[in-house]
Amino acid sequence: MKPVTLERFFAAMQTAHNGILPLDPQQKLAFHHDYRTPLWMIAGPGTGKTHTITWLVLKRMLVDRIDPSRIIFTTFTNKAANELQTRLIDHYQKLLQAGLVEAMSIDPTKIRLGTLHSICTNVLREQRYEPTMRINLLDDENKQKFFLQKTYPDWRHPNPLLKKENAGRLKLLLEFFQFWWDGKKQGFDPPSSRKVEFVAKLFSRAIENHVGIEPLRRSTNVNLQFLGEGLQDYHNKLAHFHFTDQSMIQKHFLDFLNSEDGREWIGSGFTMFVDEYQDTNPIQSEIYFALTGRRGDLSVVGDDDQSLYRFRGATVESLILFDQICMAKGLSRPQPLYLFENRRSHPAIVDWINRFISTHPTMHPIGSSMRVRAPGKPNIVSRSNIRGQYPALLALTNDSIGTRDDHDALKAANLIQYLKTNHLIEDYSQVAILSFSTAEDSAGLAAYTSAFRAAGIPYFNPRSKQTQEHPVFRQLLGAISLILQPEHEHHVQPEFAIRKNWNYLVECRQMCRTLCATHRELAAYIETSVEEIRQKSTIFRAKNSRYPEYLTNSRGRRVSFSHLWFKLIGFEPFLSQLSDMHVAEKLKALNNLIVGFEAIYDQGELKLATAGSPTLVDGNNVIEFCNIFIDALIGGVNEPEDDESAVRKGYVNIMTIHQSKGLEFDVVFVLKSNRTAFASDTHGIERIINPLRPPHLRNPHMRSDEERVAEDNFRLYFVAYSRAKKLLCINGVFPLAIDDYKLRMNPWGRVLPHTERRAMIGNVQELRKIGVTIL
Amino acid sequence: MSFERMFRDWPLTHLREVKMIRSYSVTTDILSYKRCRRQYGFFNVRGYRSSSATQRYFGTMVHDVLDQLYRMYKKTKRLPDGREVVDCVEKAHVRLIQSGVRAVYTVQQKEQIVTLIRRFLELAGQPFFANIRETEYTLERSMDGDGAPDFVLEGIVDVLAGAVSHALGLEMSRSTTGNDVEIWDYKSGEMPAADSQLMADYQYQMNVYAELYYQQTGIYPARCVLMFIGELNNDRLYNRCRADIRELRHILHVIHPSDEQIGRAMTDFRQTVACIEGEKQLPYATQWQAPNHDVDRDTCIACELRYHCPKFSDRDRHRREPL
Ligand code: SF4
Repeated sequence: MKPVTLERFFAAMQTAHNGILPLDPQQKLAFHHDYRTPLWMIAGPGTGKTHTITWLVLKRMLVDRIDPSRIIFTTFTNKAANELQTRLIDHYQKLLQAGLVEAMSIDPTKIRLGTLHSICTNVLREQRYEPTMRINLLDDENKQKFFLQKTYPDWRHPNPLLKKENAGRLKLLLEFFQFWWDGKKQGFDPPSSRKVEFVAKLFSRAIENHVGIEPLRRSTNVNLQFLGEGLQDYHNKLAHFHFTDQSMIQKHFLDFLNSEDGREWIGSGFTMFVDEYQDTNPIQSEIYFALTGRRGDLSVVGDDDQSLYRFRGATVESLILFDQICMAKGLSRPQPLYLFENRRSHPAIVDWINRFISTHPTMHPIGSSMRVRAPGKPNIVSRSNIRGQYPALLALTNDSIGTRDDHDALKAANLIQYLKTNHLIEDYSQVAILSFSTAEDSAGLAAYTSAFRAAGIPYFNPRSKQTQEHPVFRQLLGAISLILQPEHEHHVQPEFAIRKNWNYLVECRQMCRTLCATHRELAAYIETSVEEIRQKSTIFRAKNSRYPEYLTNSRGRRVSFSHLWFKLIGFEPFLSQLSDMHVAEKLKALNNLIVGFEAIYDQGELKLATAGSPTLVDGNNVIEFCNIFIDALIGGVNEPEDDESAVRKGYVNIMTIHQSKGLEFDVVFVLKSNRTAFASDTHGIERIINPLRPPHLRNPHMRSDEERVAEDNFRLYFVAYSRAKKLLCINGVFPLAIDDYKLRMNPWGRVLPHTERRAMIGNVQELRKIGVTIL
Repeated sequence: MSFERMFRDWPLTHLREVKMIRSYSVTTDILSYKRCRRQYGFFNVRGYRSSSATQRYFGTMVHDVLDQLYRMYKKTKRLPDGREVVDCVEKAHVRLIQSGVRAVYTVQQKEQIVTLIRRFLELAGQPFFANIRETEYTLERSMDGDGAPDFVLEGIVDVLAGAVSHALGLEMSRSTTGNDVEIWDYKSGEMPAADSQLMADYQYQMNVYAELYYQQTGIYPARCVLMFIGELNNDRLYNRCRADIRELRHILHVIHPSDEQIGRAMTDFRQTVACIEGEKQLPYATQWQAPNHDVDRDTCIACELRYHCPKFSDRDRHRREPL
């Protein structure tokens, strides 16, 4: 096929778009870029980043004649990957319909498109990379914790960081852990689950940041030696049990790329497109550079102001310092390109987000050459069709001291009701409630959900971390517990159980018992199952075996937790609940968690206890269920995420700001914009890790924890505000006193340029003066 | 200010339907859905999971070992010897067990796999391996839904090969040439009856792969060959064939792509995609009902939904049995 000229490509794009070329001048520049140098595309919210990049990929295939199988296109989530695939194929079909016959000879499905994790896993499998063949992936944080805990009860060989006697050393290593521990009462012994949580994060961050074990072990700092020991042990155990985790799979992939086979596979290098580059971690950035075969054909797209994933190891510097990193890698200086024409939001909203991000000293340190934002970044310019003289920016606040959540929530409910009844919105899903946490007991969210219920507004809050409290979820869990431990064994439980887990289980059991009173078939199943275990146990104990034996049912099949789940949902009332989407999603959450647990714990298969044991079912099953599985549950369970659609139609969607990334809504309520953010383990771990990175990956100007927290908070609310198309409604309270700290935390004060900050906005009148309407 | 006054100037826009182009695989989507839509809906769409849905030990081992042996062949350009086959089987076994696949009588199964693979190498190893172009070859193509939503069709063929049949001197209804391209698929069992559903599924799968290959390259493969390795377990037949694969009639089943068969398979594929997409639009409570057609009893017996499935006649008994 002859290459298509750029003119012909543009002409086909134009035909596909009713005669208008759908590119603004900056977007068009990307199509003239010389791909021997990396492309550094910094795209503000609503500026058509996905639109530009998908057309650009097609241009590279048709005009520059890049073989699609030599293109790798990564993004941050499966959902985003699905969207990119849809857009790519849709645009491709449009080009064909526009008469670009040359397009018939290319096949966009040949592009490797997906999250970096999925690409790592697929390539390693295709290339039969020995260390990862048929490896078990701990693909979520829960599984990683289950894995760490699996080795924990084996107290002959626990991870050094989790040894009981080493808790003090862990305290020295992890300041945040110390902070958390010191906040407890005297004599408090940290539970394994909490230690595991910190340690899991520490290990993941170490791997993502390319921290070598040897330098740690050789360090003169005893704390770092201790970390090295722990990390080594974790690596060994992963290898021993043939497991890997989300971070480690990336390390495997990088090792593969640096191997002889890997270099052969890379050949002359891939053409790389990386979306959401602001949330890249150091090992990922190494992978991208390796995949280009040290050529410069790397296009990165992102917005540093929307970097949200520091807590998962992302370093916004990957994008902000991209030019320096490219040059350190021996590539030429990348071409910066700024997309700033916003087609999403009403001009008043664009104005607000510009003021919010572009003036405050947190984001613009005075007298410092340090980069907090991408250099040379222009303000966003409104080019949206959404216009009108109505107040597109509303403040949901009042002059009274303290928070009046129920009052604000009622106003929000009235407004939503008005918009829907008067057809200003067609569907409730055009409204989003965004908050830093969607747990109903935080951010005053309970006031909103209760106001919505009272007003008959349907809402959807899948990440409430409250799934474990749903009665049906608990009844089913109670049924499993009653089979595992019949009533007469109750007294043995508290001796080894973590008390809060046991208390939760006791309630679940009671809820199930109450249910059984009206559901005889379910009750009969539980009773006969317990009886079956009893009989099998009597026979087994008579054998005097030293080892527990698998519990099988009358069909000779081993009984597992997930098997019990499937049996139980066959009984009423669970069966009917499967037809109700809301409850079914909760039951599914339990099912998915159980199967995740079973992947680590011998498929969840139950065993009969040996003679002399106080329980009929093997004690390990009982302990693991109560102390590990239930422990994971009561930390809070979300409903499983839908990989296709982030928004549920027919409902006001309540979501975390993180979840809302990449989405847009006609109406957005942002709750508690004056949130006080604190340094967390994320910042502490980052501080420990930074100097341990290989030199070229270190951040030479790392700011203090407090400053980084403030940056994160700005970016968080920047993402939230910029989701709104027609109406942005900000909820926040006025500070009690005018001091610098309160100024930082005050959402209204934040939007003012530094010099104006002195003129503190302390009441609604002053807020009105800067053009904000009070709801 | 009243809301009426406040929002007088509100810009009205219409809610846009979000377009979604989904990928559909021949085996994990289409054949699963055709087997039982309820099972497909619960496990493949809604995302319920079952621990017992582990891969089959025997079939996976056969695939893994053949794959590894081919990789050794590619490096050394010689067929692996008996010792190497045993080592390879052992390694594959360890990996599978570590990955959580449960199996019983593994010693016997491993021995059986060693025998099958050795026999296969003896009968077809050199011409087969020498002609392999790609293993686990991914075929993918975006398709016009023809009124129904567009979709991406995907499939993975075990082996994309050159003229293996020609090299083996197989007699075919259509003559072979040295330039043929062939799709080969390993099946670890014995050949099913010609009129069985399983055989129909295999043929369907091969016809779709042939079309996919055509869509990608502009030519149809000369033939698709199903290789039933399990047939080599029969000592009597094996000894009688005197190392000539042509004498073992049931080890290979050849499908020559025809317009008619491919056309039928593709129409069916499109219709099935439309059914799946249509099912997703139904109200939640009515989605993924048990199918109206018969479902193979073995499929139901292995299905975790049978305890409440209206299609499974023994559901009450199975459900009430303890544990
Ligand atoms: S029991 Fe049979 S019919 Fe019912 S869902 Fe399972 S496979 Fe389908």
